[in-house]
Amino acid sequence: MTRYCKNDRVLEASVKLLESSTFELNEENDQATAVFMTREMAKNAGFSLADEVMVATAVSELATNILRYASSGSVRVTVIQRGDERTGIEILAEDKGRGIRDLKLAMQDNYSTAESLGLGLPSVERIMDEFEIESDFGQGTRIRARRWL
Amino acid sequence: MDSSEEYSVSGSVTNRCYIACINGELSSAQMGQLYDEIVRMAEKRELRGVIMDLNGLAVLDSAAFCVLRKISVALALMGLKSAWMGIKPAIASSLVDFGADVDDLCICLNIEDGVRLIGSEK
Repeated sequence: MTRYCKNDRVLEASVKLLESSTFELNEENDQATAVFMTREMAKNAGFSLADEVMVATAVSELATNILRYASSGSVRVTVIQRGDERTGIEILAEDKGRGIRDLKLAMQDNYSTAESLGLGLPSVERIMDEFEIESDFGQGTRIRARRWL
Repeated sequence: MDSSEEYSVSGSVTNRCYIACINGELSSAQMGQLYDEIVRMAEKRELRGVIMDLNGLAVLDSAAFCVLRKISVALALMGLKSAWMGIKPAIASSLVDFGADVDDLCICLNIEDGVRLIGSEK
């Protein structure tokens, strides 16, 4: 298994999970539902409109990737809290697709194996404060990303 | 579930400009449909250009951005101008964070501005 973390920082394990929703992604409409519900959760957690759209955009990117490359998977969105009581949103995107052979390469701007701008994963990394991707080539991909209020 | 989940495009023609109002959340299949719809409409109606009103979009991820760009490029190849309108501040911020290349896009403030921009260059 290979792993890549934003700024080489592994996500802190000790966060409190406040509220969570899991969205199974099997078809296009599932993506729209996940994006819509994420906006609602971010709004209720106290995120500004701009941040709410950012987090929903990250979910949209990850859901697009799952449907495009793995056909199906899931996105779990969780409202979390750190020890200093700071609230955030965590996105966990998982699929059992063919995985990513070279994570460093996949995290470069404009890298794409399909017809797209190749901005997806790097943009999620930029949008979110914390970002971690693990992949087993041939087994699947797991991405966790957090944005704090 | 709220109607904002649903994607829709509605349009009208004014001064030979097709104004396409794109609402909701675009999925990959719907983006392909949007591309076909706008390009076909542009061919049929002897238009000068297309104004894409994005004010109703919930979010715009890089895949959807890519399709909108493709529409603009296809229209340019057909000899038509296109202008993007109504990008919300939150979507503008996320596009900046993507590092989306917006340099050669024609962006207009409102319909009048868009019609003027499209009319002025042809």
